[in-house]
Amino acid sequence: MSAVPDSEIEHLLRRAGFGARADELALFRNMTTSQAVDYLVNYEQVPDDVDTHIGKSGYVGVNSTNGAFAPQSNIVDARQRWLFRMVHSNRPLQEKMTLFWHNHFATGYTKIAGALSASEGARYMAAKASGDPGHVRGQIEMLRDNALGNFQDILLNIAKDAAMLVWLDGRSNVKGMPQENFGREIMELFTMGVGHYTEPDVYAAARVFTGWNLARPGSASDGSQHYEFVYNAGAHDTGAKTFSFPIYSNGSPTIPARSASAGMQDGLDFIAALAANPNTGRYLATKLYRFFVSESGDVDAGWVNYIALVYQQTHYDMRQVVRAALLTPQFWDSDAYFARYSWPAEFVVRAMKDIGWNGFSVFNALTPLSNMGQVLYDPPDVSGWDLGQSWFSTSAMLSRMNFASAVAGNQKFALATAAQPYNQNPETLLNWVLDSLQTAPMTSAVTGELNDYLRATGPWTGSAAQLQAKVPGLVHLVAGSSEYQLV
Amino acid sequence: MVLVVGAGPAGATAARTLAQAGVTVRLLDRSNFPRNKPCGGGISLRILKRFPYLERELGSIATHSVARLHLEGPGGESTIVESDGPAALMIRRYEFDALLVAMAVEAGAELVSGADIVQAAANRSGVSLVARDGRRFEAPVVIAADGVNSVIARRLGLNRGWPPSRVALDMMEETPRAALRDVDPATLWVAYGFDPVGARGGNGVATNGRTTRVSEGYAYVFPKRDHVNVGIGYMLDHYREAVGRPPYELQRDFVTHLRRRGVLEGDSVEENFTPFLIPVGGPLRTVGKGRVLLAGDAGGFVNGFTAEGIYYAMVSGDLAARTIVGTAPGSESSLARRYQKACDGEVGTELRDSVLIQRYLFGNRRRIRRVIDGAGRRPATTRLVLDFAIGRIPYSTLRRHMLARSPMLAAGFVLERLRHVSRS
Repeated sequence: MSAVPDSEIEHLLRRAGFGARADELALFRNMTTSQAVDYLVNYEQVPDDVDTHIGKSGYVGVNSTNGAFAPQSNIVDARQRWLFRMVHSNRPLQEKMTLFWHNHFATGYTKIAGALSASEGARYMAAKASGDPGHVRGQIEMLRDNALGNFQDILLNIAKDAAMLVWLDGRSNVKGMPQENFGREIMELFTMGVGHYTEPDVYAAARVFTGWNLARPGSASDGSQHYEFVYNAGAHDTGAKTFSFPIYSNGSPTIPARSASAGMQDGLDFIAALAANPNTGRYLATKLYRFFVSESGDVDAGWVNYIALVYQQTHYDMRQVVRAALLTPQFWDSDAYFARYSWPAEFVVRAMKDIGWNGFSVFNALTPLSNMGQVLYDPPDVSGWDLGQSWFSTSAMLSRMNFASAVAGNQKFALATAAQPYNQNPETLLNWVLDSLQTAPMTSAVTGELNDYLRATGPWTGSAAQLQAKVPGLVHLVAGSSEYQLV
Repeated sequence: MVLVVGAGPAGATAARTLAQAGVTVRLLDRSNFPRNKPCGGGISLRILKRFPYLERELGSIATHSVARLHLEGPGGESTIVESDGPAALMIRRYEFDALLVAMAVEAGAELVSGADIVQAAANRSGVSLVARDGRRFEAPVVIAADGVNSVIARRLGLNRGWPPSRVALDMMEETPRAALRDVDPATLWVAYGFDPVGARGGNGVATNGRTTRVSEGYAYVFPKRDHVNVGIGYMLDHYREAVGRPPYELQRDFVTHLRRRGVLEGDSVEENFTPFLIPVGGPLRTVGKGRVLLAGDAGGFVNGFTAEGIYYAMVSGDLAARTIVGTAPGSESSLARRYQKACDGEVGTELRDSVLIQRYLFGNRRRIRRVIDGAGRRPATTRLVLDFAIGRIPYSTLRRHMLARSPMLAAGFVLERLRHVSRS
């Protein structure tokens, strides 16, 4: 819990990260806002050593579910590793964008695990290549590596991604019997958005990707056997494919007939065309507006035009796009503060960062996250999670309140100790808690209730016993308040 | 000069408070007092805590107080809640409203009767109103306490009309005891989830076996000193979708049903029967704009759970008047904001909560049963509710107690505030 608020930096870190640890606040407080944006965006300059701290003291804990902690092959452990990164990474924007892409290219572990096996499902979603005997890089690791990469590269990677090929049934997409799932979603959900393609386009897109499949090289004995992308020329539909929108820079809407051996070029051309399509820039910009700027009111059309322009001018460089987004006046407008509904992962991570984590395990966040409606690595369907107010039902809210209570209760002694300097009276204590856990503005009725809570059981003494009795409850009430759910 | 439109409890209270503070005030109403008004006519006794001056004045009209409540659920389960002293004050609006108007006039307000406002326009410097007979009224500030169908709220764009999910259709008669009376005049009789559609089948209580959602209705018998009020109400959307029988037919069947059960004696009298609307969806998002403040039903100041409106009408009227008195000339632009804040501070939480409790209980028939069972088994809760009703404890104490016992309800409260926060 840190007592000196800095509203601009905290706003930036709520949006471009998952809230701020005390050490992050101390670091960023000395920067101007544009320096802070550049620091976040150019995260390669910060060491990527967060995983090496898992299990060390001073960091939030993880629980190993079956003996050893196995995030490469056990989805529960993979979820814990990601949550650990969200709390402790010094590259918060990289984790935040990874989550953004996870929702954008929403792929669900359950189907992969059902098709392959539980450990293979975890592997193709979450494995780090450096730790895998077959050098498998799970989908989320690919997205993490490309979190601010070039959008065309991301698209190509996702089209060749093993989990995606299982998820959208690319493996059964062969000439003569095109499987349309991926062809449809790459236009509707991944690039241009609904309304910019026709049904014949879906069929043509499916034909483009015929033969994009998986091979299984490696040896079963050393564990290196694995699925990886293969272009299967024999299954490719060699005919020309014509679309309702331009594919080439000369305006031609037709991918020419090609020999089977050269047919993979169809997909590369199509992906380049989708990345270049003006609707793609606008579609991404709209999503980024809701993700970074505001979920209240209409999307700012001028903002979308500007960001789409940056997208085109930088040739789909997401680093430049996100940097520009974070520097817009709309992002810094005070109306944008607390104008987003926190995703469950944002809420639990921010609560741990704000309240404390010593002696707490991210394992304790997994069931609550499920009750709040967000199971990492397992979005409900390819369109991702229902965002905004849809996160909130009575039971989801109850789950958020209970999680706030669990963290605050776990941190009881640390909170009481940290509260010591502010024990003069209930007001100083409440001010300290509200400075540490920033929320949307509270009405006097709400702060009055919090004050009532502190005064309810007797005269104020500020003793250690009273602080231990009252501070965790107060922190629970604030972190479980509706105002804290907004970021 | 302030114009107060509507001389019901909200308007009359506002006019009195203003006049007492030395403000020139004209109190407009379309009727000549005394006039009748359809209403259950029950007020929780805490009104005397909030408006101590009432106690002395009430001696001049017929009042009746009760200490016992018969509460019944959709499955026929019931309980009796008993207070150690009077908990509710029963009045007839015919007399009570006239009394409040008389008190306003006595304090110095000018009463203008027969002024049925049909047009309203506001600009930077004031508000002008036109009555049906062509009379014009102008004032720098207006309190609109013109009821559930407030013309002013509609004309000034503060309320485009209540959605049917936010109003209850209340159908009731107030009949002299000579014709119709309750067997036990010391008890309020209230049923939640009441469904006279099922009454045609026999026991008068919703059976509704397939779904757990209850009929969004209630029924009541309120004893007065010389009269009895008997009524049924539904959420308007529920009435339209699921009930669809003519109001008086429902009323007659209901009275017959209660007679068979030995709750009532005598007969329903159709001339005393009136259906009317109660805004039970919580206060409007904005209860004031520029130089116009909405009070009472016009602003939605009604408890969504109990449908009690008189107390909140008087509080909102009083707060509107106090806000005006406390506003320096020239700073009228802050009027609406300060009024909103005052209302929010005194009754905002309980009114918003009440809507949630209403939806929570109507959402599942088991919940009503649990409340009714709990009344007997949890005397501490029952005591707090009664203490709240008579003004012995503030709402925040009752609320803390409820939240500690029902986490789902607590989450619902927080969620509702989230909607409130993110909209503003």
